Amino acid sequence: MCVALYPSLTIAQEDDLYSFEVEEFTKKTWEWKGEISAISTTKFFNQDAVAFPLKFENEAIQAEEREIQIVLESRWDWDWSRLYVMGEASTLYSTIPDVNAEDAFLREGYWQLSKFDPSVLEIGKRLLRWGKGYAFNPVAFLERPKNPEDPEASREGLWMVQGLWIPGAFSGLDNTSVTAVYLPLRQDINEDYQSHIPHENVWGLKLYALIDTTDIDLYFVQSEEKDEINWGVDFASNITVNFEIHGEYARKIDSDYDELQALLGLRYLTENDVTWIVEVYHDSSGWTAEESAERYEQIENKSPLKAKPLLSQIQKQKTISQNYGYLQASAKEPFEWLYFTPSLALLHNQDDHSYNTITQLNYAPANNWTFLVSWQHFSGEDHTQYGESLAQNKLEMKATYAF
Amino acid sequence: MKHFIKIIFGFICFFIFTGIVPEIFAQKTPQEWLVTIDRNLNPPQYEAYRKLINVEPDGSRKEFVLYTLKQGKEKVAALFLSPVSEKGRATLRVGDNMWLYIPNVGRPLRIASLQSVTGGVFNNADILRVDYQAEYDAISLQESQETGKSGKNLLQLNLKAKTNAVAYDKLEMMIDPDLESPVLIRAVAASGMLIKTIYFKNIKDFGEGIKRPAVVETDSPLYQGYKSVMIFAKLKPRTLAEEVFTTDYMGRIETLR
Repeated sequence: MCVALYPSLTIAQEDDLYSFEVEEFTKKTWEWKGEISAISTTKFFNQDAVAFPLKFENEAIQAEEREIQIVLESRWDWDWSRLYVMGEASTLYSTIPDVNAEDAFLREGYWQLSKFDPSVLEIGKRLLRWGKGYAFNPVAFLERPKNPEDPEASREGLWMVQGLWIPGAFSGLDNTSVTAVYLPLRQDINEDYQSHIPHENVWGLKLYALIDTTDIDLYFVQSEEKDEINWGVDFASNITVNFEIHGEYARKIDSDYDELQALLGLRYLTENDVTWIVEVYHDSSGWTAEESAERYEQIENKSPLKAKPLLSQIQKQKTISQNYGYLQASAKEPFEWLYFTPSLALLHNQDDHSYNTITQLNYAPANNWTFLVSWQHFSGEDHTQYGESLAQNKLEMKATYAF
Repeated sequence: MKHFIKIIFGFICFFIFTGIVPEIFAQKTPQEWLVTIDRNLNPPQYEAYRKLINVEPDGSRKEFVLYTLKQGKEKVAALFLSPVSEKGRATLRVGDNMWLYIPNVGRPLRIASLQSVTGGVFNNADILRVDYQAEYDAISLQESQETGKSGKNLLQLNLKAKTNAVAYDKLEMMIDPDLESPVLIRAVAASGMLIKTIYFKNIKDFGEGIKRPAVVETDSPLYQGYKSVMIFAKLKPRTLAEEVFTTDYMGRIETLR
């Protein structure tokens, strides 16, 4: 009986496997999706950090944080125009009451007009994401800074008008495009982007070309009132099928200063599916090891009232020194463990020789579910960037469900 | 002389009626077979929906739905429609260049053909398949001892990668001569090691002259017990602007549906 049933069961399973109800995926005028994350973080403090007595009066060893984050995204699609809205809301509870927070903001929200498709005009809040680097983007002139400790983290956009024109291939270039951007800074528009500038009109231009297997971009950004000109160039190229190199070079020029930022990086995929990312980054406006040590000594020796603003300035910046190195190795599905990706990243301050090590285990076992365990360790001598980090170790567990 | 002409005429009639002449002229070169296979698998420009299923040894599955566009021999774009967590991701291939666009990351990242955006046995080169003739030269054709559904012996078309940038060094393509379609393809590394076997199943008439396997399945000795399946639906010719196959357009592929 069992033997007689087996072939029909197998055929039924095969039929089920090969079924595809494609009508379910017919495009709708309005679509939305969402994502909810539960994040549990344990921070182990560095009691020797100069910031520790400024933050804690008692001898706190660790803090527990619980966070719920919801991201909602919606799209209305009409004939030649579309409206995109993406918002985020979060609530954070911590055993340190000062940290407790509730927040809601619009990540991106813009109206896209494509009457002359493929050319397009976008008006609203937008995140540009210029550059080719993974951990650092010197040419990202018109964006909120990226966090090299978490390069893939979402960021909030800026209010702007952006026009894109794609002339396509010509004169030996396999593809080309031109992007023009207008970004206003006012008391109530993009006011938190560069808060020390109350009024400004910023104009940006990006020229892109694909030549054989190399992407090249040129960037020009001019501020009208500040009389500052920024320009930059980036490239990314596949040397072989599993080896990519990329780089960025940026200059910020004003009558008072001439800053240079540069990045060189590579990605390499080994035969056993390990992806290596290596990047070196330089910022001429950053501090030397001596300068940053001096700042930490000032925090240590000044009264809390004077030290706190200086500490806050350091903590806001993701990079404070001139030279950094970034190394990441991620293995795809090792030991035939499907949808499991462990990774190890090392962020090295090359001036003061302090380290930030990030170990992650990412597992997406079922549709729409992702689990992430992350352990971050900061190490370095006294008066170095990561050696003075308030948290010496950070353990994070995150479960995300998309709907 | 008259007699001689009669004999020649008789021979010609014999060859025509016995089918020997059509057979001789019908024989295609390996390269012609490759062109035929490419055209029978897809029109020069098309759109399609595809479901990708990764099946684990315990039977558990992970499914992805992609909207796909193709132009010419070597331009392919695919947009993820499902699952929700992947929705909006897009991949683009132009020749040897491959990019992945993740909405949150927001800019195209270069990816390698041997990686896989979906996990499972299909790699990016399989998911963003361009015409075989764009990547491979047909080097030989031989009659195989294996038989197809029609009962006829399959043809084995041997392909060699044009450059070392191609995902597989050699392909052994088993062709059903009646259907002029592949039945299976063995992908072999330069070392001679079998990397994967790709099976073509369920010949389906998609209309507008497109008749091809609706199911492509793969397994690999490197992933024992795992298999991945790709199901085609709504495959139809579609003319698109060249600019659609550019990195700047990746975030807007949805607008073409």
